[in-house]
Amino acid sequence: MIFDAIMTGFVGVMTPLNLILVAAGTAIGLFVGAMPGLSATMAIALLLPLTFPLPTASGLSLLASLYMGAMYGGSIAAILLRTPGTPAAAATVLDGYPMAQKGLAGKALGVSLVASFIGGLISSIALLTVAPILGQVALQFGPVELFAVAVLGLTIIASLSRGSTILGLLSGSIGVLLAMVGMDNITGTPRFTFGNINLFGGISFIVALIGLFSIPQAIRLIENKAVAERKTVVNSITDKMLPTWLEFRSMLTTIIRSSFIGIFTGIIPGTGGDTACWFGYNEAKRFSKEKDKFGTGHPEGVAAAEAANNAVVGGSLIPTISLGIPGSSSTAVLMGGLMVHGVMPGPTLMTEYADITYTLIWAVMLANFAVLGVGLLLTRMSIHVTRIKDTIMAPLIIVLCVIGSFSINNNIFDVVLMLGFGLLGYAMDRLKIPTAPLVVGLILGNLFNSSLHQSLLISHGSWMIFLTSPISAVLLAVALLSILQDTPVFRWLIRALKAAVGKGNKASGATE
Amino acid sequence: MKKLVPYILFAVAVGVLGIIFYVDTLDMSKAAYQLPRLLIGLVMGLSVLMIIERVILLRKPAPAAAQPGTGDSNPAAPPEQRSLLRIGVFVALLVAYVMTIKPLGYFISTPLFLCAALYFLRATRLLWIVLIAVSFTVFVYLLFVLFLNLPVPMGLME
Repeated sequence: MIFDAIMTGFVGVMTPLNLILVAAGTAIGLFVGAMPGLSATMAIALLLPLTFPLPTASGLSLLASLYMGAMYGGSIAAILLRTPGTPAAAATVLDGYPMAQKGLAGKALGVSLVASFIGGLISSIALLTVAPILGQVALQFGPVELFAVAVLGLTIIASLSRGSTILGLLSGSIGVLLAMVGMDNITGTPRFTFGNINLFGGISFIVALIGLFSIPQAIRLIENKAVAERKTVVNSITDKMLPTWLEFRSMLTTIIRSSFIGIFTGIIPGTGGDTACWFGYNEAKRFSKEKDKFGTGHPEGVAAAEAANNAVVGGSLIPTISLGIPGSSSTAVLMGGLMVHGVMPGPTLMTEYADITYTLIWAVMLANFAVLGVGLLLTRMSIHVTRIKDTIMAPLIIVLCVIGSFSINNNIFDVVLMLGFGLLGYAMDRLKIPTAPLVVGLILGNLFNSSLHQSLLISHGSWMIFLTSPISAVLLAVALLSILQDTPVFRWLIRALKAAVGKGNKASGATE
Repeated sequence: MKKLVPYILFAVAVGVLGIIFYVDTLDMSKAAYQLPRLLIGLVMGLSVLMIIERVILLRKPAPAAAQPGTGDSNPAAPPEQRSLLRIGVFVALLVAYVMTIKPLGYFISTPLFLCAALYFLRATRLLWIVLIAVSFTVFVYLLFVLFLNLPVPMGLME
């Protein structure tokens, strides 16, 4: 049955329209990634409304390829401008820019391209093999376990997001609370609609995404005149892009190691390309016999960072697809793409919606080949994109936000709602409150609501049911641990434990 | 204390929202209000904890600055460099755009917004501003309406 679904997904992706859209999505992603200040998440959110009229497979192919393209595109700005196009390309600056200064900008970009391709491909294979297995495990889960999974997903992303655990939890809780707006599916009671008919269907997830990820980014682009008037540091790419076989062979071990680092980093909710690139880079340096060369324009440094950040894509989709818990804001937006086409998050993604889910997985796989092809064709051209002023981009982004949110339901209320979420996102950004947990909370709100209702019905209203189920108890204990690890109580406990162990060792040493 | 004010304002806003939502739950059945009330309590509690945490952090000495060029892609500039006026006018233009797009329609409000915003931001020369505004308006219309069959507000042109 799984094999059938895998093949259906493959056939669903391999159509001429999809292949064109994958190429287009990769090109858009590459250009968006190349512009500092614009993120993959924003681009996916802005393109979401455009996928409405498209067939599901085509829409998902467009979004997945855009994500992959932006991951590689981030390295273009890092290498040419010394400013990472996306946070995931931050470590690429260390060796990429010195290579460009030596006149090896093309080589640096070529190494980045090949490493991104291999990292992305390995992570896609991991996604295709691990997600179905995890999905089978998740199918054994009832409402009690599902509630615990949702709690765990939210607490982990809250505790690992930028800022403190308290800020992350606050953001996530606001997200779940806002997801309560609208008609309650179980009781049929309208909640927090205040008589407004536009709110009866709940807050449109896509509208919230566009507002939260695009408006703050547009405002940030213009808020500082010094940043807005950025200059290109390297003006042209004159050398050959692709590395020679010998150069490639010397980097292969690093690329493969970084790919696995990226996959594992991606699987953990709340950590993404920005963590993986540093992890991959540091490990490459640790294992290298030429440690001194790192930071001076060493191709292996570029390869390590880029393989890791592209491998995050497949890794972060593993919990998203198998458990229905998005591990990052980008995968949350991709999940939004699934929801646009009527697919609800949860373990049923691998059964009821298997054809669509496998289509997404194959689209991610296919996008890697598109990154390689489009990257070779368009990287030299992307240097011109990096010259576009932020002050021009910001108003254009606003127009896309407004028209995109209007087109969802042909309703001006959605535009006002989008604006509200945009201003909320900007305020949260200024206060360093992470927005990713809010988005995840919005997605998981329905799952929270239905699984809690069903669990309490089973237990006749007793909350102890979450502790009597062993899986649920373990998941909730881990969730509690993820919250407590950032508190002074936990640090005090660890110190006390270490002291106790130390005393025990001394005592046993004295008696021997 | 100055750094604490935005957090206090955010907490107050969250608190007000919580109270409004709580009042709304008074007419609901237990099954309908159970989770929302739990969340309201959680959100309000976490807002208080946020303030306490900020007070503790403000008392601690500031950590050393991060390495340049290795952090976020769009690093926050020092507060003195940020132009509140620049942000305020841009947001005001955005709000005006949202408010006028329905009555005036896409073809009037969009080029007007783009021209005003690009001119205010001194993005480029006036001729280029008009060219960018008109061509982008046409491009988005072609993409959304003609290519993807998605609606745009027509306003006066309806």
